[in-house]
Amino acid sequence: MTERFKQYLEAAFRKIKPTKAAMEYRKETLVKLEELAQDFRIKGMTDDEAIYKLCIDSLGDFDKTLADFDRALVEVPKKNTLKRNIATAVVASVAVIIALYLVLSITGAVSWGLSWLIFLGAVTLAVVAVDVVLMLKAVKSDKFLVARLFNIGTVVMVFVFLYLVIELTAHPRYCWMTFLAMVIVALLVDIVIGFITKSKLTIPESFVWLILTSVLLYVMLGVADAMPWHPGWLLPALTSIAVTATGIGILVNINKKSKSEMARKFKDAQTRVDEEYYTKW
Amino acid sequence: MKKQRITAELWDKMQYLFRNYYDRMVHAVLYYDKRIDIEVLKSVLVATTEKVPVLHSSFHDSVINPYWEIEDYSISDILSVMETDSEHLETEIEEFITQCIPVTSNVQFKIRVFHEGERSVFAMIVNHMCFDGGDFKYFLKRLSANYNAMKKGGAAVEIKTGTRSYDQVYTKLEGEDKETAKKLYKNISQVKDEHYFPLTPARDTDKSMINRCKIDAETFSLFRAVGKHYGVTVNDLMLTVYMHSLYEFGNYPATDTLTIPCMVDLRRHIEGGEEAGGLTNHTGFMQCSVDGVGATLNDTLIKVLRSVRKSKHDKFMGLYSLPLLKLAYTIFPYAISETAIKIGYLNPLIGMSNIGVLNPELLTMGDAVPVDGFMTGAVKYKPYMQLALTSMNGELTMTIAIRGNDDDKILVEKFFSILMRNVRTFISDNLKYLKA
Repeated sequence: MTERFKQYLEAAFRKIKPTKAAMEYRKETLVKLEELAQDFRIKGMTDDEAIYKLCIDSLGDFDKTLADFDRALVEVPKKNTLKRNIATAVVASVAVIIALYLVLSITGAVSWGLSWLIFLGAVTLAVVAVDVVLMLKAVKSDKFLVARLFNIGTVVMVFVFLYLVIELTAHPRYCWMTFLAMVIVALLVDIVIGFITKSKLTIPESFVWLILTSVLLYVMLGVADAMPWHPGWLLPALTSIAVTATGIGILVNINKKSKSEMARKFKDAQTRVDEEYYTKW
Repeated sequence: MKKQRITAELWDKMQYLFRNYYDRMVHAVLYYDKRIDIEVLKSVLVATTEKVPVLHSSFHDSVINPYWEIEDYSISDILSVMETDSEHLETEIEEFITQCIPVTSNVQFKIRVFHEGERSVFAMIVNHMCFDGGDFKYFLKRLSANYNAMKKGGAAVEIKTGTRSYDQVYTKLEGEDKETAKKLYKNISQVKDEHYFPLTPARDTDKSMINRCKIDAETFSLFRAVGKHYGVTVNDLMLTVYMHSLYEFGNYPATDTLTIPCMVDLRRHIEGGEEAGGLTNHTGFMQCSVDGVGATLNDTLIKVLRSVRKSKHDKFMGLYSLPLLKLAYTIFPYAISETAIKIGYLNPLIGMSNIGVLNPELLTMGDAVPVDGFMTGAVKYKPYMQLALTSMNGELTMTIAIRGNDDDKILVEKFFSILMRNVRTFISDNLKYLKA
């Protein structure tokens, strides 16, 4: 059989150029054919002629496959320029940012005391870009731990940048609240990813977020005199009560389901009768 | 005087880590048709032990880097002789080979020769940290050759004494392939397979046991003949029968994917093969996955072949994860690296190790010829188990070494009977093609 496959392949490959790549492809094809023939034999086929025919048929329009293979060899494979493009883009961006910094500072359009924020903004943007890439990779590999940790870092970075910009340009009274908002947003982003990726810890995390957010809102609104401390305290208190009640409800439900499943299994094992149970090992 | 130290190699540390999963001993038993000359054996053993320092060293765990320390010893630490009778022979062999040598012992291998009438049985256990099944076979062959040479009046003992380093496995590779192999950081132990071999829960009374089952020469010959007809190896066939039997014995759903690692001797990648380097471990594994059990054994065989072909075509077979281990042991102090590896390493619940053929001609002791024998790997702790295979004189011995109780023994024997039934079914299903 192997000899017949060899003869067939030698004849077929004469239709294309005798390159080293073609030789390797021919050898690979022979192995494939031999393995297929082996499978057919193990399946119970004994007719060598039928096996041979089925194996050759499995190659499909082999002349066309070979012609495509030959053509692919002629075409110079396109170089993977992604890395180079990324490097070029990074260098160009750095150059543009430096130029922008110098132009804005020298011309006085932005004071020297503020223009350095351009650099921080660029770094923050780069971190956001890396974060997006990491998330895309995580989606591909279905492993989100690193991406989620990085995500929290990104939110912190963005909020630090926002704080500096707001503080240095507008000097609002309650600018420090940016950091309280940062905690809310960081956890919220993580919860959203958790829901998308069906993470088991998302529901408990959401409960924590709700309570924490209500407390932080209470503090922020209270400090800013936007909400009276009393009865404003009801906001975190009621949120906590609602979250605890929901949590208990979920746990009771899970417990009920598990009990009924156990009861079903128990009933099945105790009452189901089958002759096979006398002899089954 | 300060004792001399030997570096603990990568595999020494890995095998030490495996103490969490098994007893770290490798076992061999050879049944001879005549008595072995104990005096000659003593001389050969002392000369051999002197040439291989790791065999008379104690292992010292350390936070930064563990090491071996060369120890004094006497032949009585290594060799013991016991007169016995046929009634008690097997019990005494079992008792001897199921013992565990502590890593702090002054010697790392023990031999007992049982004299029963005019016959002898040679039983040996060795710490897996010193060497694996591949070098165990080499050690036994050299022991026989050195014994025979000494019996004829020669005094020199030959045994390999070179490096024990893991990186010899790259010696056959060149250029780009070598570079690629050294970057195979993929952790192949991370294939999650939750199928386990059904044994009873662990009890305090559990003890080490080596369960054996033999495929007789006639059956094994037919089995191999069928394999030859299809162009498949004994390893492929045994893997098929093993997996098919596991589905039945373990009651796994027929469509479940089952993955079993199969031990691979990495000396295939070493320039000079088994003669190269020193006595050490060079064992990797290839994963065999089937996406469900076949309706017949032949169907399962096709599934097994589809999986193992991928490994067989892979020129880096068994070399995966080695760079990752090396990296872990290099960048971290030992205590941290062990914890890190323990977290990342998933010990397979079920495994198979085909130790291969024991050639009686290469294991003679003077005019005493081995008529039977087997080798087996470490005694696994529940829920882990492994089927080990050795063939000798045309027979195949299957062993399952576990720490268990009498109920487990019954379960293992039941599994052996399923295996045997499937071997016979496979032969009877395919015998017609042989005749044709």
